[in-house]
Amino acid sequence: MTGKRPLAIAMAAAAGAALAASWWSGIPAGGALVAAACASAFFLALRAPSPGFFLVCLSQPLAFLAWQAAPLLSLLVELLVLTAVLQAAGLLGERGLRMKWAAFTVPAAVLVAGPALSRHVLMPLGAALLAAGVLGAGMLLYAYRVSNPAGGEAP
Amino acid sequence: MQPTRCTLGLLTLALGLLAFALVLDERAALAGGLVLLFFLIYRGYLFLHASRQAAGSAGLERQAAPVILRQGATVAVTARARIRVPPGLTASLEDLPPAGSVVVQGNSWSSPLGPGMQIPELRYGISCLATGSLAFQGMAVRLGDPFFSLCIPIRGAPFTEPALQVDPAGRSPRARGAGGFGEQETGLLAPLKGFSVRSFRDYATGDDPRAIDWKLSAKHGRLFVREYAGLSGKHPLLVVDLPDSAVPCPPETRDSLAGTALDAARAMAREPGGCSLMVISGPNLLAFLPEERSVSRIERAIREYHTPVRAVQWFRSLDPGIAQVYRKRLEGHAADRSSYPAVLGGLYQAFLPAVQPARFEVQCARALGRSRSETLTVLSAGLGDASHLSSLAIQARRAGMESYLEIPAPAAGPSDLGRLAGLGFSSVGVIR
Repeated sequence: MTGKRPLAIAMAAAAGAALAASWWSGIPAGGALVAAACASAFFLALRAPSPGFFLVCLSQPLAFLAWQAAPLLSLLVELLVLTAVLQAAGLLGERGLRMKWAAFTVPAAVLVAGPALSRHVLMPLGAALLAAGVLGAGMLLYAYRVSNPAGGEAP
Repeated sequence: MQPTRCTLGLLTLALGLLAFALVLDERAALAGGLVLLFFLIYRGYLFLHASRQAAGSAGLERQAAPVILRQGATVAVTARARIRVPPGLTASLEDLPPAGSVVVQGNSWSSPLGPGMQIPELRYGISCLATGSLAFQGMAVRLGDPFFSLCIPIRGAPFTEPALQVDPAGRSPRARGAGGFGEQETGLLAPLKGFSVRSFRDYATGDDPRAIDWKLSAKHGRLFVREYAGLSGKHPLLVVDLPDSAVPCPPETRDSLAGTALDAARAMAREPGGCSLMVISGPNLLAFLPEERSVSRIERAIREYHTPVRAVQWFRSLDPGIAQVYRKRLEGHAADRSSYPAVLGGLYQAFLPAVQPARFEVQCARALGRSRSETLTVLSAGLGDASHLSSLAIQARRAGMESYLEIPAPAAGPSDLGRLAGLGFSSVGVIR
């Protein structure tokens, strides 16, 4: 990940969203905590060898807090953080890449809608893990076909 | 496909959130965990799709000269590769030389390539240590993004051309043994029979009919059977004396030596006792592998020191034991103090008590003692000072081992053979 400016913008936006969510959900102390978490995340993101991971990891309390206000807000926070990670990694530099990333918002919304519309986690978790298992197996098969092309020819 | 450190961290975080959600029935954690988990799967598919496109656009034009060569010779390779790297990915290309060859000049891989059409040119040299028809192994495309990396070997026909025809550089004479290295025929009776006939005797009941010499029997009117020479396995120690890189050495001599050493070491590694190998360059012990059975380790030991730099040099070095013998011989001339033998004896008397065995001599003595070998075969170019060879012959004699010296044919002139014959080896042979 390169570039401090996208990270700073992302973390400022996350802190603002956290403050708004805490005010909205009636937990004023939570906003200060989340803002401190965002500042720590920004600091670690600049120093740590894998700042993308730290950024996502330390933004999770913000997503939790946002969930109290609205599940949709939690989804937006997660997508915002992941967008910052991708932007800093240079994976949103072209229009095609941005369109593909935008397409991910649809399944992400479905993923968040499942827990939001159910009262317990067991059913959506089971269904999501089943889908993830199928997709993961498909990805491994795809990886095998790409890395071991038939006859040694270029895939 | 290999995940990066960041990806592993995100996966761990997602699984932790899902476990947290399951235990505490926390829907916010479930949503966060699922988004991260499917984000990684989504990135994986995108990466594989882009990698497939990149590898599909790869091409290679390779030129090698010469394509017909002797074992150990260097081949100059020029590979012009092309690849279209998708946005967001970095790629690096590696040309895969033939199996049994080693890159000795330049690099066979490219630096990381950014997005877009890239046409890197790789120039490098390989030394072919295997023999026969050798094809290139293709090209490896290494792709990566911040989340995953992947290596795709492409081994199709256009990527493996041209084929190299490598002829053996030389073979060590094996006339001393009936089979591979280490077997020697003796005049004694032994459970294992050789191929030479040591004597004839009358046929006795129970003798193998296949041993009957019918020609001799017909001549004398009674049955004679052949007594074959016994075969005893003498575990050999192979010493490869590589020429100094700082001294001009004809390429064919160096190639012949390396090729013969590899050929001999491979053959010995297949024997039950393995190959005891000592790689030296003058009085410098570079590697010692006692009873080694791994051909790859043996090849690596010889390849690694293909062109060694001699840190220690000897010139007409005198073994302390031999000097003592000289001194005792000169004691008889002590009466006339002004004579040359008396002066020389005085010199020996003065410096011999302070002489310590050289490090090479100590190393050789330890190696010979540890390898449990009964014969010593030295492959050397025979160039320059031969004090270290003399020291080896002396050490072998002290250890009760038979020692043989073999030198490549290009370096085996009559004067060279005469000079090396006086070093103390049991025999001096020529590698053809």
